[in-house]
Amino acid sequence: MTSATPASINDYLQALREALHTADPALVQDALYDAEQHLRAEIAARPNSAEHELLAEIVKSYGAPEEVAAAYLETESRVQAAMATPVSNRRQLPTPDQGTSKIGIWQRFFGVYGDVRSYTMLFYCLLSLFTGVFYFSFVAIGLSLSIGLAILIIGLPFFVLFIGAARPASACRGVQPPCPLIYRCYNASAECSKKSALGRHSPTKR
Amino acid sequence: MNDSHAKKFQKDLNAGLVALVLLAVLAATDEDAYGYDIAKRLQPPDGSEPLFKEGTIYPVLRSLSASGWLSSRIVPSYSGPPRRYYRITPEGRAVLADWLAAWAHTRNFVEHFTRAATQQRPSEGSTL
Repeated sequence: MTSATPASINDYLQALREALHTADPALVQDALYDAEQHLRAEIAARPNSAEHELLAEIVKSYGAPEEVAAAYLETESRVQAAMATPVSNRRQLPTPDQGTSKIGIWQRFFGVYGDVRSYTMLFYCLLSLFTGVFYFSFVAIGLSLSIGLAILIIGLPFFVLFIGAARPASACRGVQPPCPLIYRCYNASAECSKKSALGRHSPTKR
Repeated sequence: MNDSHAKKFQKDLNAGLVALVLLAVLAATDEDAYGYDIAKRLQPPDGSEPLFKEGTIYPVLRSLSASGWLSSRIVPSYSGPPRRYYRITPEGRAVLADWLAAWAHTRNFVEHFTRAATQQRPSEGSTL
């Protein structure tokens, strides 16, 4: 059944990670991210209580790690079965076991030129040049002006403004500020969530 | 009665209902809402135990979002990880309308037979 109440959020997340040890790594990241977001929000909502006392209460409402893990696994399998694109609508891509009998070798080789995703990815690569230039300019100008203006009275407010603007900009870019555990993986998770059609997030699959 | 049977039955019922309830909650508000906020809105007004654990709504929110029925955006938070805010899309509203019609039909159908069963039960005892 359910294990003992975790003593801290990190303990809870570790238990959740263990309960999901057979799952797709990206799914584990999503589950850990959701759990940490919820638990920290709950604790922030009740600042006067001790973390370990609150956790016992929270685990009751949020669910034990095993229950939550089961919900993710169940939802994933159900969603995959119910919402998968019908085969007839899917682009007929060759699978390794199909060989060359059904799809010609020329079609397999030149198929990439007819795939819309090739062009969207190309566009994204082009776009990343401009966004990269913008982010680089933003940081270079912001930092140099902050340091240059440090000797003046407006230096400090400018620096605060620059850091404040960098935060939403980094969130928009998908880069997270340094924080424990989840944040290191979060970027990949968020990107994959956007790309995945099923809520499952394996970066190597697309 | 066997409590585990009741729990399993409840779990089976919840499988489809969570998505319906989440779409309904998000359709009822014009604001974006994040997971914790949505979970708190699902608390029964009479203080009774909710039908499902708060942790079970997150994977459903993600799958609804992946289906295009919810849009999501990430907002930095000072109390923890960035929050993912959800909003129902026009497609989500259309799906919700279909689901509500299906739910009304199902509820009427089930109620018709369960009402008959509950009304019959006392008389059954007297005849035997």
